[in-house]
Amino acid sequence: MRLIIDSFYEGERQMALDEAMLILHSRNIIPDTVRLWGFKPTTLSLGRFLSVKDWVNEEELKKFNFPLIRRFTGGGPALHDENGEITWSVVLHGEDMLSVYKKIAEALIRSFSHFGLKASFSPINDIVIDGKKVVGMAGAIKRGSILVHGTFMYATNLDFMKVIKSPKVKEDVRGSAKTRVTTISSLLNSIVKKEEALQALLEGFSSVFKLEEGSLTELEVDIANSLKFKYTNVKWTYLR
Amino acid sequence: MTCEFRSKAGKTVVIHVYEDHVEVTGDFFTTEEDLEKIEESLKEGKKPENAFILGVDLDELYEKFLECVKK
Repeated sequence: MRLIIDSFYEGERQMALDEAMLILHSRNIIPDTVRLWGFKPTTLSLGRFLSVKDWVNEEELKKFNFPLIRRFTGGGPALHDENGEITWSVVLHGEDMLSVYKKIAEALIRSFSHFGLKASFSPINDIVIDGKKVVGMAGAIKRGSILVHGTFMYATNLDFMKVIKSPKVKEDVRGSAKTRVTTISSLLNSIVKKEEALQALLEGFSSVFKLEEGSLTELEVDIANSLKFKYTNVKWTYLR
Repeated sequence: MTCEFRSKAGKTVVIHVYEDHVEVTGDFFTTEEDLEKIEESLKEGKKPENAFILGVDLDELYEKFLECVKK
């Protein structure tokens, strides 16, 4: 399986690249891949089927001046702190998204054990520690290929979660976004550095997948560049 | 009209019923094609079929939709 250790870039580049990877993988042009990357600047991403008015606190978003980007994957909203999260993507063949979430969760649970933390998979798409979410996963499927990407919050500033608005039925059961998530640094009560988080992710993914470091192909980059416009287009962002 | 519910699998669904269309939004997983089929069936007042949403059962969705339009 190809491993790409990528850089931190704007959300439109990152979403376009993941979508390009899913398209090319579904045509058997690129191999199964794990990519480690991040958002820069800090960005709020929204699941493909969420509506902005129900899930985004636009006033707070404006105050923080964070970009908003709609993903091509389902799932909930996610705040990606450029100084507190490494984001990851996995693309592989499959038809059953839930089994892919489970497999990736195995890897990430190993990553948390690097810090002495006992995490568990909470179906459908979360990993939790002591009942609080530490990883959210989101996937899309195309012609027998599945791409799942997700968060690994080692030091996310939880005050930023104010930009997420939750429908009342969710907040009544799960609380506000700020209270239902946590980070590795908060759990350990000490600041975890990005390098250590990256090391833990590499250990976790290597324990489940046979990884070989590689690089992006020109085709992936070209297609991603062509898709970028979609992710900066307000018609896409405010589709729902 | 807008109605929201938590599915049995723990996903949050918001149904917006407009005069000429129905919009189903939420933190679930499906394909654009399947969601279009579902929204089209609901618009016609029919139970959605031949579509799949991970995290939301279609019977459950239809039941909530009927409750919503009755309000």
